Amino acid sequence: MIFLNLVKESFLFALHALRVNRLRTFLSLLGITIGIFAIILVFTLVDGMERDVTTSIQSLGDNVIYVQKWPWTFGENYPWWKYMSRPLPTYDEMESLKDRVENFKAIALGANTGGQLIKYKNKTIEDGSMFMVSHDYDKIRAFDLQQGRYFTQIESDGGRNVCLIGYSIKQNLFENYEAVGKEISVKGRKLTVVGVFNKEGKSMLDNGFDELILVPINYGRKVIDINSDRVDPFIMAKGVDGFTNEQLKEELRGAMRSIRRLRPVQEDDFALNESKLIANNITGIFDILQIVEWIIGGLSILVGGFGIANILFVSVKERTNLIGIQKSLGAKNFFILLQFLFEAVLLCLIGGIIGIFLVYLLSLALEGAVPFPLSLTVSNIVLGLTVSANIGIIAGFLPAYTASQLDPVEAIRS
Amino acid sequence: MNKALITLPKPLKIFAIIGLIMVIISIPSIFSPFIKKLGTFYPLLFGSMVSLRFMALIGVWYMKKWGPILFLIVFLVFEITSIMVGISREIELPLSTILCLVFLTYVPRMDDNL
Repeated sequence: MIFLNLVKESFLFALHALRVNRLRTFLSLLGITIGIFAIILVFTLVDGMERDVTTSIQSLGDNVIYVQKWPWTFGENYPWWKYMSRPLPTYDEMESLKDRVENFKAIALGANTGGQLIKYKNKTIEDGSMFMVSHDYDKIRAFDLQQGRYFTQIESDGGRNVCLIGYSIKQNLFENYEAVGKEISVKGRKLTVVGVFNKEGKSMLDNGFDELILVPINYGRKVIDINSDRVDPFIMAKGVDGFTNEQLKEELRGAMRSIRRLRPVQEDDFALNESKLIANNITGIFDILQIVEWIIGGLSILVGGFGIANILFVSVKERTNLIGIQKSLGAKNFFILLQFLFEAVLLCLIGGIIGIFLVYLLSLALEGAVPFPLSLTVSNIVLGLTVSANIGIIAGFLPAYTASQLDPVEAIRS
Repeated sequence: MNKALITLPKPLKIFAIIGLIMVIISIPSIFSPFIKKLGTFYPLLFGSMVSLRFMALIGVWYMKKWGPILFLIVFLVFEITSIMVGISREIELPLSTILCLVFLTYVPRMDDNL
């Protein structure tokens, strides 16, 4: 009980000292505030980006291999002229892969084209995207439908003029009215809406379905030339459960080489991409960003810590005779030590809390301005408070201990 | 023990300075991305260990018995938690062990008070 009273009393003393010198308190906690703000802001940004990338990979399918003309990542001095002359994946190659690859769940062909004029009655979207896919696409990419259904096999194979539309397109053209069964016009051609996607939002790796129209690839082949670099067709393959991406890649590589009749000495004339490739690249950027900010924030905190130590030494000097009186009245060394230590820790904690609060305000202000969700996590708050408290202890212990060791007679005389 | 007789021996001074440098180097680690990845509350634990180690070194510097004892306790707790989370401390472990042993040999000559 006596111990608790001592702690409480030294805490109140520390609080009083901070209140008396408001301007000094404010100025000395600035360094810590800036340091904590810098560190926690970067951690919040990086956490947000990492969460976004993880979600994107999950939605794209972390076990999907993309057979394309271009690789997603390049090494140093990549021979771009070699990639330029590569052939594009075709519908027939997709069909042949289905015959030659054994361990796949689904294989589909996709191609994307932008700049589509989409109309419904008097409403128009000028720069819509049309994504053309073969029938098994729904087994590769997970999605939810708000209304309607996916294409039937007959619609896909026959290239019927049907489509699924994204949430934003539905809202722009139909607002809150029923869209399924209605006819829209895409570049002057009529398409019947058979389904509407749920709202998905955008992420760093995937633009989602909100702003596109999904049509059967056999319909797309009728209206545009899909064997062109402009639409960049690609084959998507998903392996059976328990089959690794590496194993699937090997099977696809063998099958594609035999389809394209490549001799053993010839290099692959196609790229096998997976979402992990981009994720690894982005993670590498995050790591560099974290280290840079770690150094900047660390320096700021170091300067702040020295500031706190300096202020505490001044404080001890100012209150030396008060310490002497307290000691002569029976105050223990421990009590004096705690007084100054609490003062330092409180200063740093207030600085840290202000820094964290500023990050919170900034994350609210940036909502919508950055392409990924920003939120201050518990682990970042704990980290901010931990760093603040520790800087307070480290910066304040030496002045506090020096004060506790003062001789009462000498201290009163000063 | 007479307070005037307790002065900081030179070898102890050197080792205390080495210890303080080690603590200063490990301060930025509290908020390093690597430590953060080890868990939500690991930076809290790691930070507490760094601060307590700093306090222990101040105790050693002032020739107080609680200094080496606190250093030993922190060293043991740090080692146990490092093993538990799977961190290897090839450079720090032998250095900390030497510091611990040196500090403990001077304990009989140190002051009992705070």
